[in-house]
Amino acid sequence: MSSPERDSRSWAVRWLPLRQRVTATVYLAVLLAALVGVGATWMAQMARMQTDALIQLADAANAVRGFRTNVAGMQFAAHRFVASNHTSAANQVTLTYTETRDSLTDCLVRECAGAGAQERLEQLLEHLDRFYQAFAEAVAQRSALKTVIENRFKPNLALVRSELPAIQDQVIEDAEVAETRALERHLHGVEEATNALLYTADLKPYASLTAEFECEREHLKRLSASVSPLTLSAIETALREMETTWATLLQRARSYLFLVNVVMAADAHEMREMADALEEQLDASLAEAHTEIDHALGWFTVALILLLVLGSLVVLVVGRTMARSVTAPIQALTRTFNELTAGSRAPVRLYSPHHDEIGELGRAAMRFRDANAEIHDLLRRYQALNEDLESKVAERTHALEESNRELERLAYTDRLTGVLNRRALERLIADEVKRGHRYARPLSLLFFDLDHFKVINDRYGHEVGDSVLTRLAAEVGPMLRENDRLGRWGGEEFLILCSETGCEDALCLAERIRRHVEQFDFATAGRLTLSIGIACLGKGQTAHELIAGADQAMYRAKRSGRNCTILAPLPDASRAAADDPGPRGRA
Amino acid sequence: MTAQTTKQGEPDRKRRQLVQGLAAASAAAAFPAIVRARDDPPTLRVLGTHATLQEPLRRKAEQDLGFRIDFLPGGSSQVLLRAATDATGFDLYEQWSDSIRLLWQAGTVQPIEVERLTHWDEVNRLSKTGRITAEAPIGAGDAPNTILYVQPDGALGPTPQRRISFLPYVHNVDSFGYDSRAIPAAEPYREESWGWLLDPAYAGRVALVNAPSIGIFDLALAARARGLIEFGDIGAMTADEVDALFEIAIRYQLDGQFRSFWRSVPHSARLMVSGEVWIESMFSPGAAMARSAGVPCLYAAPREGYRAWHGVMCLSRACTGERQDLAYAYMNWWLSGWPGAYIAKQGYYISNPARSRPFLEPDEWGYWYEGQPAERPLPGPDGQVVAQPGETRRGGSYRNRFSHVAVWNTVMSTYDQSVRRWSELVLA
Repeated sequence: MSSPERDSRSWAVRWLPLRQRVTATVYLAVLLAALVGVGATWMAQMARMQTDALIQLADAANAVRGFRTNVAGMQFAAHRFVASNHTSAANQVTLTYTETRDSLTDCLVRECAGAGAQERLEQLLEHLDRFYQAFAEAVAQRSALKTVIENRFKPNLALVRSELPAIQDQVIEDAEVAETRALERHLHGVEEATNALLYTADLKPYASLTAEFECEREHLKRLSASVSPLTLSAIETALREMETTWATLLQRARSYLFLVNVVMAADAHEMREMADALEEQLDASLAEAHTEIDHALGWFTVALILLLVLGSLVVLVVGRTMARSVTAPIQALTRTFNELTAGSRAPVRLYSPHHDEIGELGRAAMRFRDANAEIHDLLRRYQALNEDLESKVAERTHALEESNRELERLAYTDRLTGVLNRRALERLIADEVKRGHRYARPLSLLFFDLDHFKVINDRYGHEVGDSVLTRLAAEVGPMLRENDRLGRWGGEEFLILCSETGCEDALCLAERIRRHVEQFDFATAGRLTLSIGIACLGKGQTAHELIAGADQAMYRAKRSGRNCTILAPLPDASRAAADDPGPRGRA
Repeated sequence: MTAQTTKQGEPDRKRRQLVQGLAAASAAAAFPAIVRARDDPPTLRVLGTHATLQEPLRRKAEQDLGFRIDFLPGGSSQVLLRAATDATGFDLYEQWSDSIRLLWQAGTVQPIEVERLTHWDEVNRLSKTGRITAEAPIGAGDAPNTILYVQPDGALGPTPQRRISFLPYVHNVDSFGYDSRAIPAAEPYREESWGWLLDPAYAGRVALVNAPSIGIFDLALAARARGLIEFGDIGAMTADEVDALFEIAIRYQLDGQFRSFWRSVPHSARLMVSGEVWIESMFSPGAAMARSAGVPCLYAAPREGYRAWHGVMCLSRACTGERQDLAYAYMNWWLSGWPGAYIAKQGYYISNPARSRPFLEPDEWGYWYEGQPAERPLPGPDGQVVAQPGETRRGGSYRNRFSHVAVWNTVMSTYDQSVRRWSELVLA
């Protein structure tokens, strides 16, 4: 473990127990997930709010377009009223005004176009009110104009008109008739100009009427000769009244035209400008809101990604550190346990200062180390004991085996000569006969006896006799082939078992032995001979039969003069087979 | 200065007053005796605009004079209509010299006897001769002296008479204001020009006063300064000249030259404060308002000269007897010093300045009348600071400014035509 890791492990380990570390890591991960979740929700919420704001702005833009349309409609209707005196137009202005005012007020109250547009909306409302006021004043003034014309101007005009026929009756002169005609024409002109006052925007013809009144007065003067003073006086009064009224009418018309052409026009222009500016402002706000949303969302996305990346990095690092703070002590403890298992007695390092699982594990390792050391000591002592015991057993077993081997040797050895004793021979012959039969292998048996041994015993004593026998055995032994076995049958009778040996080879061996013994000097006993009987294993012959055959052949050699070798005849069953030139036939 | 100098929030009251005025007019026509009977104890009714009908003036006048005074303020055209159609609705009428011809024509005002004016002899030569000094050029249009004297035939003329059509009192010169942040400050009388109003560089940032009788002069001075038109007499334009001028103005308006046609002084200030307008025809209180709102608004001294105006105080034809005495007392009070000092602080001059001088601090006199730099923050009539230390009145002294009069506000014979064409310009 590298040192920074150890450091990171050590602070994590130092500060928090295992369970809290795991809890803290899980908490951190959950916290991050929650943070990201909250962030995403917030972003969604923000986007929704912004969208709402956008929709509101778009609605406001629509409303402003509506205002503009209404303003245009109002202006048109007002113009229609001014130009044509349509009552419906005046009503339409009122209707549109009320409607526009209501929606504007509503918009103001709801701040439908945002706080930035409030001032403009208020100004728009102010101009709307002014426009309508000016219009209402214009309507009122027009009505006042009409009233003045109807009540103060027209009656006087009618009066003059009604007097004219009387004058015409009274005048006789052509010139006077012409004067009345001129008077009539002038009155007609005044009437027309006055009537037109309600529908004209040009006051020039009307203003020039001053001269007409002067003319009329002149006309009347010229008529004074022939017309009654009473009539003339009535006409003059009416004309003066008309002239006074005319001045009022002119001022009223001027004021009316001022309202229409100056006041209403400026407010209409201002409303149009305001609506345009509002619309521009709203469009700008819309664009700005768009940019803002894009910006905010972009920023937020980056922040969220950053939070996710950094947060997950923190969680990764902390998680890794925490995991390491768990796995590292476990690995170390595993090593410690392995070392302990291997018998280490090094002191166990404690990997957690807390009473947590790792700490417990460390303390368990310490306990284990102590217990383990004890067990190891015990085991060593036991091993030492065991080794001691085993060596003693081996010793005893060896001695026993030696004794057994000696016993066995003693059991199968002739004590005098050291060759096989009769019991060993019998077992050997039996085994070999069985083997010879099973594998159809040749087997021969030499049976020899020391000639005239009784004489030696009698003459030199048993000691010499025994030494002769020992000597014989010692002399014959080395002459045998590897597989030939020599044994003492009893007394001065010996047997040689030649396995894998046919009759001829057995005969050769017997002859060699007879000749060697014949020439051997037995010291005290001098020269001695052997009578040898040979029997070869025949088909179906038993061991006993084989031995008996060799024994009989030896006795025949005794009877034949001793110091010779006689081959025992093959039993009948095997004689025919002996003619056969096979290996067994030769035996 | 004849624009509708109404304040914001006034329309309802105005309208009510108008309706009342109309009702009173018809009632008075029908039952004059009853109205007179109701007017006891005597109350002086002064009809006029907000420019001079201010509450502090009314209170001070009541205090000094000891009788009740009613102010009937309104927009200039409404005030004119009331005065021109009903002599019984007012005792005194305060307006601008350009309304005197219409009013005189309407016959609702009567001549004023100079014998009854205490300070008549102190009234300066500007009002009496049209020139502030003997050398000063006389402006085009109706110089105050040309409409002051009531001639034996009843017409108004420059020949001095013992009867006058109006009491000459407040007067001033108007020009245009510009936001020096948008338009670099230029040298008064040398660089500043009416022609700027029609500079295409300021398209959409220009405003005009919404009054044909004076707006037409701003347009005319501007068009002439740019060499677009020549007038035989700019103070008495012919019908063809008016048409030609409107053709030019409408062409500019179609290109979006004019942002607004303002209806009141606060409106003009608001336009500049909001940044919607860089340059506009202005009255000096409007420029002061814009400055106190933080806009470095310069009130130009155009090289072509100012558009001058003169206040008129007229006596109603129906004002007789005891009421007439009150009216003369009020007129004399106006020339008694204090009112002239009061009105000086809003930039207006009085026709007998010397009598007002003791009512002003020396530095105030220096600033307002002598064109000297302010020595301290100078208060306006409402106490708000209107001039910072070191600041001088643009255009200089009273004498200097009135030596640069291009034209006097005038209702020309072509007035009706200009009204008719005004809406065409505004709505183009």
